[in-house]
Amino acid sequence: MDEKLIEYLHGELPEDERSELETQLSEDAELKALHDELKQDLEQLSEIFTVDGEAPRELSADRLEAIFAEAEADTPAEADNSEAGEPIQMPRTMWWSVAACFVIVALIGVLNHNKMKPAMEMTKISSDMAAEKSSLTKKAKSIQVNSRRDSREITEKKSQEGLGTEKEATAPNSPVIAPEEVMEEADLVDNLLADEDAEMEEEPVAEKGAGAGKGAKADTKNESGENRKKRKMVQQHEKLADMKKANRAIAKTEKSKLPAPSAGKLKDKMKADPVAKKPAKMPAPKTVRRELKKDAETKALKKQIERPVAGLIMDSVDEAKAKTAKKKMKSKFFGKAARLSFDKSKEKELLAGIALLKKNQLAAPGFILSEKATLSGNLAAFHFYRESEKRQTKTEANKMLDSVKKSEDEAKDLAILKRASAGQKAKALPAGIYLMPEALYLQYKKIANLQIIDWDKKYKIYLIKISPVADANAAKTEPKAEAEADEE
Amino acid sequence: MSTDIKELIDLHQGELLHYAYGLVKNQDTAQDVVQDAYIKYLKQVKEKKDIANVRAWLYRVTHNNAMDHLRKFKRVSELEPEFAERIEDKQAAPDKSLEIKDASEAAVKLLGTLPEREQQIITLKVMEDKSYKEIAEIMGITSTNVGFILHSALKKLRTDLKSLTN
Repeated sequence: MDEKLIEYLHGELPEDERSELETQLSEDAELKALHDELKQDLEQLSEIFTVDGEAPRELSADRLEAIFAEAEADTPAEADNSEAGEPIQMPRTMWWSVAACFVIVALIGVLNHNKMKPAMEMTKISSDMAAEKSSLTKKAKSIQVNSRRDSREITEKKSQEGLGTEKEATAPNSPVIAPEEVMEEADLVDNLLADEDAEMEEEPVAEKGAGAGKGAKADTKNESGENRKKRKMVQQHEKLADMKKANRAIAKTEKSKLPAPSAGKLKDKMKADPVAKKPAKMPAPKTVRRELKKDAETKALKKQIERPVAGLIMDSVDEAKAKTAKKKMKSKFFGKAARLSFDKSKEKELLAGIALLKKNQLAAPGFILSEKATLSGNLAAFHFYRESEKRQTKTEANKMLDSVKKSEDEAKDLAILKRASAGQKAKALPAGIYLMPEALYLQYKKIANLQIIDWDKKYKIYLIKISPVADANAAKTEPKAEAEADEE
Repeated sequence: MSTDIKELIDLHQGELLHYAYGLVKNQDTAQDVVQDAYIKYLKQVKEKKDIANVRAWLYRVTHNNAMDHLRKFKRVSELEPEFAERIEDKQAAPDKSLEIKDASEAAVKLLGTLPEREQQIITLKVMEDKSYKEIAEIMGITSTNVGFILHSALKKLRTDLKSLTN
């Protein structure tokens, strides 16, 4: 009533209620007294709280200026934005990908450059050397040709004049050997050697021709020519050997100047295998490799855990893996299972079941049936997990559960189970290892041939085997354990 | 921007100053409180944060600023009584009678003990004489809620004031 009266005093009461209250007030003295009291209090309060006429009506000029300054400070940026229109915002993922591309390209470039640098330098050196060789060869050839021509002219002149002596005849031939300076510069080119050899062989013919009219002299010339030839060849080979040594030394010093230690290897590789010219594949950084490894492990584990079989899956008896599987199960698989077929409050029972599987070293997948879950629910859960490859979402699982109504004929389910236990309808409930609580076991025992493998006495969890068709008859013989359990 | 803020100032500065003055009882402080509310509003706009009801938002910020000031003042008076006295003397209106001053001070103190929501509703209703609808708009609640909160707040204040006067 207080609230109503306050509303009335504040003039907030609707018309109809107000008239009603007014009539009540006129009739009820107590209410009237309360009204008066409230009115007095409110008046007192408003008197106390009333703001006198000193309250400012406007903000002072300096304060207004400060506010406008603050507003103006924002304006230019806004104006710019409005002119430019909406800034084009690249999606974050795009930025990342673009940045990643740049980084990768830069890395490849740097690596390639570093790796190819020695090879490139080697190629450059060798090309320079080749160019030098060819120029020197040409030079040597031209000098040789000139000297030969000169010597021939001199010999011809001398033979015409009849002044040729053995000594003099040999003298003009000396220029046939490349001059010392040229030989010093000349490189070790096989072609040049061959040319020189060929030229050396030509000389006696020329000399023979030159001294055709003078038999004795010509013989001595031939003889001396052969000796000279031999001597020259020996000299040339010696020089060539020296030059080779010098070249090797130069090459060595050049190599030592190169920065990459793999220069020699790379050169060898390039010589041996042209494919090796390609830069080696960039090795992944350690962290990436570790991540990839982890990822692969997780994927493998996921595959094991997420096999499309209902309930708990224990593929491995390895303790570490079982631990991980348990963790995974809790976060993901067990979450679904709890919703569909396993009561989460039965976690201890579940763990006891896992222990049973481990104890029996079972690698076969198991299916936990809960005590609380209905038979239809279990079957739905089972179907869901069987087809989990197709149906992954929770919504779909829930839809499926909804589709299996609890009111459905239980006998129908039991019949399916019975057939399945005999291995007749493996599609519905295949042969395998199942974990189930005692109550459920006793229920199922009536309708199917269940073989107890092991059981947990504390939590009364049974490890059951349903044999395939071939073993159906063999499965009928139950071990002693079952009898004991029944007695219990 | 500046035209918008000018409009907003023209529209609400009067009622906001009145409201702030009712709480802080000092012209300069009331002006500071309202100025700060407008500057905070500009910052909100700058950060592109949505304000559904600008008037309600300004009222809330003004109220919070005033309460901050009162808390600050309370702290000063607790720490340095002499300094607080000087401030009080400055702030007190010279022409007011001592009785009114005492009652008012007591009421403001009592108001300070109430929850913030109740404080604001009392202030808006008793000092500003706003309708339930207006208060609901400012507070972002329903009119029925305003009635309920106001009733409980007034009940507390009445009993406290009575015990004080007795």
